[in-house]
Amino acid sequence: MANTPRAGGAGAQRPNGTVQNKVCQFKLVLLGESAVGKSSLVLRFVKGQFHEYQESTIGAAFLTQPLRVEDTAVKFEIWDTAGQERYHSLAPMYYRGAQAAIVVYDIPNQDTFGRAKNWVKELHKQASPPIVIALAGNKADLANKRVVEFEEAQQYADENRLLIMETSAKTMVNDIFLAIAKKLPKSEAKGGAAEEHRVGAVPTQQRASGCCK
Amino acid sequence: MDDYGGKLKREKGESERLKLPPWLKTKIPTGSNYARIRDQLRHLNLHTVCEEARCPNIGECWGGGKHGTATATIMICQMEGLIILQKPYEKSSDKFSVVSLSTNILYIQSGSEEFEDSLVEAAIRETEALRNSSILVECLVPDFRGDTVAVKTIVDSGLDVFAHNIETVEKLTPYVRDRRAHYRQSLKVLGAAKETNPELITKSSIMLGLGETDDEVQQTLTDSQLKMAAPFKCFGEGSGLSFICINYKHCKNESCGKSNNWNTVWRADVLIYLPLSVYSTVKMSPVASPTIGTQFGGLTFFARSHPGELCGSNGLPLTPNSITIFGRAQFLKTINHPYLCSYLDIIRGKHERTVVVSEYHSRTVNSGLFSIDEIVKIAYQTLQALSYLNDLGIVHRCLCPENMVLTEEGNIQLFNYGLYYMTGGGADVSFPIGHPKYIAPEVYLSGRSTKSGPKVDIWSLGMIILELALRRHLWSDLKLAQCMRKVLSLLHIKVSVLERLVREHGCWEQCQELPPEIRDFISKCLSVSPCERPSPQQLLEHELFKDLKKDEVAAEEMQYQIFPGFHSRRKPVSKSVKHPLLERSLQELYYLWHLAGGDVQTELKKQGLIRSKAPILSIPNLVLLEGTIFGQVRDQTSMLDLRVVPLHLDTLYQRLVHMPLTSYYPLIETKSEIIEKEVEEPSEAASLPLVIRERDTEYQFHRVVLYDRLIKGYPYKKAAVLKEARKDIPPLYRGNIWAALLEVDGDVEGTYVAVDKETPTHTDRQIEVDIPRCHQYDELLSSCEGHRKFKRVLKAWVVSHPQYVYWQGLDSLCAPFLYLNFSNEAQAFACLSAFIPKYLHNFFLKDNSAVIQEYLAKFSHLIAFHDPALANHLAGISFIPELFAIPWFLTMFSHVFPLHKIFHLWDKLLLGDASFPLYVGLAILHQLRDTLLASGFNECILLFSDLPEIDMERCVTDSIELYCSTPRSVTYRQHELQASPSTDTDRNTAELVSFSIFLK
Repeated sequence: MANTPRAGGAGAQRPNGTVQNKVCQFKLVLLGESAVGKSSLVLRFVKGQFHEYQESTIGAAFLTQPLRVEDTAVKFEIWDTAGQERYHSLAPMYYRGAQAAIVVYDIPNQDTFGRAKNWVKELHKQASPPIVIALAGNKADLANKRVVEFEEAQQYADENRLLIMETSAKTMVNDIFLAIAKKLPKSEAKGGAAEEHRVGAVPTQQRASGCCK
Repeated sequence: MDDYGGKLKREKGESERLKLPPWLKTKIPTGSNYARIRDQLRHLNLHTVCEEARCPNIGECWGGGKHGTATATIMICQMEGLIILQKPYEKSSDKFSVVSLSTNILYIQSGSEEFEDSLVEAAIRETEALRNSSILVECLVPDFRGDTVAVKTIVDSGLDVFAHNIETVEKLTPYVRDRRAHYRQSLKVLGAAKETNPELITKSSIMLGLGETDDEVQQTLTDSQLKMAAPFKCFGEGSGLSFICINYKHCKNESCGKSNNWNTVWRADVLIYLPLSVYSTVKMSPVASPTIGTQFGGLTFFARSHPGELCGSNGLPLTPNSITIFGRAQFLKTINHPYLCSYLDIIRGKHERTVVVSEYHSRTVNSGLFSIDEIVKIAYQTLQALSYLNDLGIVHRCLCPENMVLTEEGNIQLFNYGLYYMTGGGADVSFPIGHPKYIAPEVYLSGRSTKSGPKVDIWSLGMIILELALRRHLWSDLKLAQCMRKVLSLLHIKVSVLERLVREHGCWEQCQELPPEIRDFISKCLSVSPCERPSPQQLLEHELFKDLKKDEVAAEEMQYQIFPGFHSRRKPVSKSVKHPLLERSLQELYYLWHLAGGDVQTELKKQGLIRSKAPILSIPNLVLLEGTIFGQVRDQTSMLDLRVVPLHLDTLYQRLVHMPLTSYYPLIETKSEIIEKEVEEPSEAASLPLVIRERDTEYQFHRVVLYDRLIKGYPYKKAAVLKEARKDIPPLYRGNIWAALLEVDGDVEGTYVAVDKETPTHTDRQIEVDIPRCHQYDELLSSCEGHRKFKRVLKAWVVSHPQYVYWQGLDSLCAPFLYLNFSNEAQAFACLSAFIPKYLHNFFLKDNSAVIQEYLAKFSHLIAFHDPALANHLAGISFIPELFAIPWFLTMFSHVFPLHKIFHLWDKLLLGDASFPLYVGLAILHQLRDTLLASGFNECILLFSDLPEIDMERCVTDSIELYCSTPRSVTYRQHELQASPSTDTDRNTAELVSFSIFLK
């Protein structure tokens, strides 16, 4: 994974133009029940850190991470959303225009898997069509407390054409991001198409739809 | 000694110089104090033993150590009968010159063992001349060949410390000392001095390392203690402290290690030690106070550490036991009872160490003989304390004479009564709790997991009272295991336990002479079966206490309870005049002591209770992948240290010695405006940065004294609290002051108790997953007790506000209140309930979009109003407040800043209205302005995802400035809580004005 120089810098430059200097930028959103480890996944991926007592996310957090896939420089713009059901109304603001989504559940908790299914349904209905969705069964290190069997999740993922992977923010999470990056189309044309849906364009839509319903 | 690798002796034929072993080395004297004294002495042509004898300790004595108490020894020479080499003493100028020496303590030492009339005279003249100065005089005298008249003369001259060295143990005296000196004679001299003036401080030293055995040293200590301290009463008076120094600097190589042992033994159980600086301070304080009765005691133990890396059921690591203890022990700090030592602080050290600081008195029940009446009083007061503890659900479990201390007034105070409670009945520590001799037999019979009931303390009390009544220690020569066996053997005897114990020690007759009530009391306490053993409440009704009860009814009725909120925890003081500082609550004293440089861990280190080990020595030999550790097992015996380290208040006294009496009693209510203006003199410290003010002893002293009075006057002094809060809020009383600012009033406790906090609700899951993620860097909030309280308060809020729902972020909002009112959940709840309508009206509605949208829109307006350039830039890159400011305003910044910053922010936020947080947000943007203007969308959002360091004091000042320079209309909100119009405008104008004043 080679680091590409961070795009952007001074003034008027619009950093999240999708292809800059052959860097493909992708908007990725993390969804899932609260405390399943969304923020931890991102933190591990971006900073290589893990905090046992990771603070809850209110609203959303934003992080970026460049990586190289098959000679293409890819940069993920990651929106890490709040998990609590009440913040649901904010979610469309983040997943609209996203090229990828990771729906997270934790394997010791059946309810979070149910919630993940709901998210997948919603994404299929609401998100911009060519979205790549990955299902992440987090907290794989707590295998002895497992409730959600991998087979069960796998079956569901196959039915819904999702990527599926079990992850542990304590140890390794890069694989899932790599798998997503591989699956994403990296042609310039594609990137250009995504341009319309990027976050920067959100406010207009959002003013119309209201952000905190 | 064993560790020393160097050579101590030259072998035959060797000629190289040997290195001085480390224990014989001292630092080269330096320091301004040292230099000043040396120059003065040269100037006066005075010579001291310190220099003549090349004393290795000269640097410490003259430099004055950390207390700044310089001492110098001037020798009286036998030949000249005068100060050594200072010939014409009688000159008045010389007298003056002695006084002008900047020493606080002056030793006068006679140059010879021989007795000479002129010598006595000289010494007397010397001391009398110095009497009126502020210098303390200690005379190190010869034995005068046992002439008690000479001793009396010296004592009567009014010296402060009478010192005569025994030098060595009895057996070695003929070899070590002058042949005319005798061991017994020396003891007689010390005894005579004490007899002449029981208030006098007597002092003696012995050298170690001359070939004496441990037993001989012990014997010498006992002998000299009896001579110096007898009668025991002198301990009680407090001022007649005597002590013995073991001068281990003198010791030779073989027994170096040994001498350190003795140092310990002596501190542990022989005598009270009081550093000289304490009594020098007392003498200097403006209000004469001969004793400092109150002091703090520190003790330490290790919690049991979890083996390897274990996870709890929620996947999170197990809470370290020391944190569990820390959380639980907070409750102990709220206990206030005349017969219980108050707990002041619990500190977590490294490696699961817990340090407990509590009130302490150095005189324990162990160190004295008591009359029957006194014993009855001891029993009565102990029972009252135990009964009170039982009501709170606390069992002492380690009741023993060492844990029963005597106050100046001669009342009992139980000490260390919270150990069993705070360790969860001993579950969190690996050592057993209790003194083997006094533990009730059922404790031995039941396993460690069984929790002891209140009756185990009654057994212990019975044993203690029996010992006191018989004036002897039971089983004094038995080892630990034998002691336990003895206790267990009591289970199977046919006669009563009392009879058995008494006959075993051959004092049946003595026991028969005791009053029958006492015998009955003891045998009731020592009932083998806990069912038959009475409870403390029942025992209080015992025949024995008939008279005491009568007295008590006659005396004013004392009502003690746990005072949670606003009430002072001050105990009634005795009628005797005390230093006003001693009238402050212990919590205040401890807080100020800390600011004045007191450090518990350092004190413990100094006394050897905390020993640091080189890190390399604590590395395990082998660690398995899953975390199991082999090697470097912690020594089980080091888990608990029974020693108590007295923490002296002298640094604090010295710091506050110049405080005028009036500053202890600030004027808060005046009818005359002239006086009021005069009172309001701005102190220099007020202009210092907040973080410095919070660490300034004098400044905090003034603030604490003032707020203490204001809080006591709440709600009548609400206006004054508000006015003072504009300056700053002392951390000690922040919890209560915030409550006052939020106008928390009424039946806080009752309201909270009435709320159902137990029935499961559908928000429980969310609360449960949020709490272990909320400000968990903090020890209090991460403790199990903290989690429980957190959950209760949050549930109580959700249940009692049916119109609202739990939004993530409410936990962060609750955290500061819970932290500040940790032992007072009701007040934390009341504060939260008052805070939300004031600042976050309707933010927690199920559908809060309109409210939040309006708030964020106002925020955009405000940015545009004050900083159009920034607003344009942010709008240009579509960086809207919705993306970053929701956690700011929904939690009033408590989600984005650590607790210590929130405190400083909210200190001011609580003075403003609901629009004030908008200005805080603006002030934060201001601090990041340059970065924001230079950045695009991604950089901006990244900046806020991981908020950089914000200078909180600047942020607060900026917010106030912005607030004052903005028309109200800019931040007008439709969704704001509409108060009755008249008061609202009044208050806002008042606030605006006050903020402007603040800025000036």
